[in-house]
Amino acid sequence: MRGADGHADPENAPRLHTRRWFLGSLGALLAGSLGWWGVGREWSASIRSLVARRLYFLDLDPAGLDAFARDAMADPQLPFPKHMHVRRWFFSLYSRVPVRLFPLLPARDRLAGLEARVVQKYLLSTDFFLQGADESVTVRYRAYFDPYRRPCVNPFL
Amino acid sequence: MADYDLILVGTGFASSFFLKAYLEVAPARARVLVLERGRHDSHDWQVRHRRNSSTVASTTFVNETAAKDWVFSIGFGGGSNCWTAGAPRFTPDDFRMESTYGVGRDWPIGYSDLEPYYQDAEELMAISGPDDSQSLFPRSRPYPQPPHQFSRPDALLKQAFPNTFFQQPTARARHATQGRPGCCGSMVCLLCPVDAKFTIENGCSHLYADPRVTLLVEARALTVETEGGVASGVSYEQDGVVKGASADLVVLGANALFNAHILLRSGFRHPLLGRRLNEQTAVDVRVDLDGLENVGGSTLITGTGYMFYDGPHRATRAAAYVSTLNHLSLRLERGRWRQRMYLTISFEALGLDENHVSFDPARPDLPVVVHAVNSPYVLRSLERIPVLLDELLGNLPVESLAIGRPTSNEAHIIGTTVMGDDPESSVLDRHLVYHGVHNLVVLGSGAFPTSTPTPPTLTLSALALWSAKGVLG
Ligand SMILES: Cc1cc2nc3c(=O)[nH]c(=O)nc-3n(C[C@H](O)[C@H](O)[C@H](O)COP(=O)(O)OP(=O)(O)OC[C@H]3O[C@@H](n4cnc5c(N)ncnc54)[C@H](O)[C@@H]3O)c2cc1C
Repeated sequence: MRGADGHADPENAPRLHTRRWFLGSLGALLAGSLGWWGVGREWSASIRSLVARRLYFLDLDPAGLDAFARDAMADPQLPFPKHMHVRRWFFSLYSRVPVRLFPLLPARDRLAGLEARVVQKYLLSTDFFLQGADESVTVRYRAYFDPYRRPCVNPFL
Repeated sequence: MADYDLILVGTGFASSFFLKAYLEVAPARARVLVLERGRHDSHDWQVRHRRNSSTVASTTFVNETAAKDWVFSIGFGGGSNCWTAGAPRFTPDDFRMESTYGVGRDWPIGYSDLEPYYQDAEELMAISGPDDSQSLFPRSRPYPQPPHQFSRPDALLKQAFPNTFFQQPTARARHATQGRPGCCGSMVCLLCPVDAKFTIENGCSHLYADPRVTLLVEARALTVETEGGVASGVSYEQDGVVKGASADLVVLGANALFNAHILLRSGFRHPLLGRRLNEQTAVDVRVDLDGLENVGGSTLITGTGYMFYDGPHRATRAAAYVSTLNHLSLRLERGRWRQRMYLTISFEALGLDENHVSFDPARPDLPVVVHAVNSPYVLRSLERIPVLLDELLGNLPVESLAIGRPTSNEAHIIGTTVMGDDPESSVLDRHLVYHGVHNLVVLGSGAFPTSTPTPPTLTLSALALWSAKGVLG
């Protein structure tokens, strides 16, 4: 804070110091926990929570969902590079909180598109459509959906 | 004596169909050299690498118009590797736009001239199609294969438009053919996992194994050599070395960017050479349906609509061609998983002289491509999309629509070597022979005087057969 002549007011200095220290620590704590929450998390954990959040109304077999998340990580068509910490952080955040709650998020459309691709891949990898899309039955993972490994799989036929 | 009877550049549809017709009449001692600039990336290679070609096509030309893409595939088989295999004919009016509607140019040939060649091309590719489209496309013989199955929304569109909505004619086999299984609906047609769509590899490899034919891959044609107004051969580059070969007949089938570029580089100077580059513009539409499941369609693109195609409107705005698609795209909502369909509406283009391919001596290997001007003829139709959709979808329980932006390419490259009877206003004659050079043939959709809204490949394939007949007798 400055005096009327533009010089710093020595009276205020200690108070300012304390407040800055407090705000700084709070910021660091917040950033640290958010960082831990996001970066410390594996992509596969985020994939799991993304699918579970989006399909909350279905009963998903947990072991199958784990297996799907592992297989999705190895899919070259899905962008889950190991070294992209910022992206991983956003994805982790997004996998728990729906994107519509972040109207100004720059990557909003890309994340929503990625969500649709991942969730669709999951459903196509399960027995959901084989069971007549019955939403009351547990959904079980069969094999990762890849038309080049398992062609002719199509619930629209 | 020339080294070869025929030098053929490229191994896509145009070259392969010409070669087929050539070998049928050529003597046993005929010598044919085929130059293909790319590699032979086999179907197995493509599936392993999940791409159509080891050559990145965008590195083979200079695009001066950032907003406009040009998409094609380099290598043995050309675009047959990546095409989605829609194979409809043009309508009779497509060949006479100027005399019927006062826009564009008439073709020097009509539908009835091309009809027998359409039929032959359809048989070569075992096209599956609907025989109830006779009123729009008169045919001398039935389609080689029965049509694919409509989806449920398609069936409603057929009820609403019985005379203008049909199953899409396609080279995605309905039933197994010799060498191809039937399409099983994997919906990734750019690279079919089971090899069900026609490609040059699965349908024409035997032509390149013919003892009369020498195929050189990774051999890029540079120029057509001429002597006294006659084509005498081709210079080409292979393994970094420039070589030459002479021939009695030179045929270019390298697509509309490269054919024009090779000719310009060779010193051909017709004022229209390289000009009138164009292609259709399309808009994709996602339709969420209320209670109607989009199931039952047996392939990627099931329906084609001609309800906004021919008619007086074509005097002022572009004709539209409607396709219905079965993308594997779920609606992630309870109970509504499959209540979604996709449409593409494609509009014809007009070839404008400002849009062109040119040769730049500073970058001699790369065609320079400019597409700076869009015709108001097309823009007027784009503005009417909401009206068209209202009319088109009146019979369907539409919940919501998402209309995409006009696409930056349709993967069809048209114009640059237009055909016509008058050497002043066209580059090629009616048999695709370069005006004034009787032994130089330039194949492909570069020859089309008008684009039409329809995908071009069946027509350019039929035109290659027609050209071979005209040139070889
Ligand atoms: C993704 C995609 C989807 C498509 N889907 C459809 C569809 O559903 N229906 C339809 O009608 N059309 C479709 N097309 C368009 C279709 O692929 C083209 O119309 C068709 O391939 C053109 O045939 P062509 O023989 O004239 O040229 P191409 O198939 O492009 O073949 C040209 C050949 O020449 C070679 N070549 C080029 N330059 C040289 C040189 N200097 N020397 C030697 N060789 C050379 C190339 O490597 C290639 O093999 C699609 C295109 C793409 C890219």
